[in-house]
Amino acid sequence: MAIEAQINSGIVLGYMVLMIILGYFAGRRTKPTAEDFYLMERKIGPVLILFTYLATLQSMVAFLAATATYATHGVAFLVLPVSQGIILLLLTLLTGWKFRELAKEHGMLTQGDFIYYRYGSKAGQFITGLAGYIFNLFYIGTQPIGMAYILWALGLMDYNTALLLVGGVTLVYTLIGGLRAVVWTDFIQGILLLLFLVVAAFFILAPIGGIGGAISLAYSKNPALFSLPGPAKFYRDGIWVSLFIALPLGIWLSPHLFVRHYMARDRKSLAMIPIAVILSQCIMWVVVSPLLGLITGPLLGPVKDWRIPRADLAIPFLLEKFAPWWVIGPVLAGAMAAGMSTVDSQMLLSGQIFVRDIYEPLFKKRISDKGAIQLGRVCIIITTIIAIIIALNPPPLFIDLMIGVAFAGFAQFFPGLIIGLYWKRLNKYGVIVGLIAGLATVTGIQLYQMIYKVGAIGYFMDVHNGVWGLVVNIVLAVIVSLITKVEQK
Amino acid sequence: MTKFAFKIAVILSFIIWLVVMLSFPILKNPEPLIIGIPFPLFYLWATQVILWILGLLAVYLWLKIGE
Repeated sequence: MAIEAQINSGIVLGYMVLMIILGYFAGRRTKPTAEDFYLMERKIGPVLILFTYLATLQSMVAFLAATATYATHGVAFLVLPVSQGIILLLLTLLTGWKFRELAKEHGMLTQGDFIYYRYGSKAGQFITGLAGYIFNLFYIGTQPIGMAYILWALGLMDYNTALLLVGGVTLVYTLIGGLRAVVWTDFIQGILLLLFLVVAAFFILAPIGGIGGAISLAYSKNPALFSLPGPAKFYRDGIWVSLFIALPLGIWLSPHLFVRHYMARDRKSLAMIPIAVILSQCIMWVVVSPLLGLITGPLLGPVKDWRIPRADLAIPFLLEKFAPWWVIGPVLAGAMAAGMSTVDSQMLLSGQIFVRDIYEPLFKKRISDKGAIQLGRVCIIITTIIAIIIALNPPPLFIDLMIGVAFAGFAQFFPGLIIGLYWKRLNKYGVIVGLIAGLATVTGIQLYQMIYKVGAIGYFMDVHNGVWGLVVNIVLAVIVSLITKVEQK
Repeated sequence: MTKFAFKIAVILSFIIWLVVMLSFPILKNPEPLIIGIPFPLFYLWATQVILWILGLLAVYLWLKIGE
């Protein structure tokens, strides 16, 4: 290995060691209670909550796959940030504080806890938890893929070693320090991922004349990049409109993001969640990633001619071609930060969900704090192994799996969590029937598409699967609630 | 007054979001270029900046309501 590659490997490994050290010190300060291990006693202040939400929201998708998708579909892919940013912000301002207050008052750790509190149904809590756990797995599975690919693509290590390294390091610090380790590392990771994506953009865009030069270059080579439905003719009218419904709900209701509302110390802390959305969207999704994506084709040529023909590797290859070698190591650390900061929250959450929403309702007993932490740790280890197995056989473009499958599933929590917050008549039968039907619709369509190879992953008849599920879900939840009567809190 | 302003900011944000959602027919042609930027990119950037400003205003007003 050349000396440059060795130094870059050293920077990436140094970053990994730093994360484990932070996890160790966080672990020493963690109290042996479930509320501290999973929620830091709901006392996270404004700065930490800003960075933990930002780093958790922005994953490998924001760092790698977004650029690849802009390269393939052009500005049509701006549908992703423009469809959800403001709605995430409004949902937090309009409902986030209510959830936080109820969670604090009733000791809630998960979304399932809210379902049990609101509807008095252990079955509803169990189904919500199980669905959250399963769809979370698809999401977790996408993250190590990107991290391992870039380490492999730049010749720093082989794919499987990289997979074990990133999975192992994230697992270790999450197991040791719980949420405190996740939040502390998120602080560093949030700064790294924003900073180094901008650094990468600077070195790639400067030689071609900055933002104006990038737009001129891309427009002269392929004007179709700048209009709907994009060069691949993918973002057709139905897909565009349905993403405006499915994405904001799917993202905001993702369990690992939703529970961050439970952790806020006060209103000022909670208000940092919308700020995190705006800050990260402004820097990553709406400016840097589109610009890098638009020039990928003109600068690197068709993906099939790349050394490794994967669109996800656009940023590493652009860096390899245009940036000095000493930039690559820190930017890779930024990319690692993007992936690890999301996957650590999801790993921790899988333990949280398993203990509170799956194990306790199933065995009808409340576990002690010590037991909740131990059982959660076992679940985190099992979840990580499953995620690595998924990542061993990665899908062609991992963003499809996340947007198409995971968010479609999470969006199905909308009636139980949001409608139920305002509409008193909604009852446990309505929520359970609607949720099962919504999840069955999403899964059924997905399986049908996979078996018969119909349409793109996640869309049926040009409408996002999450929207099909939501329509069935909401209609049944309302009808069943209206025809059944239940004593409610 | 603050509550009213917050409601207006929320409603206005939602309306602009709806307008962007239903803007797909005017985003199908990359022309004209506005200060060198193809129209769809310019339109989506501009509406997004307006939404961020409204969003920040809504956050500020929401905090004021809680004081």
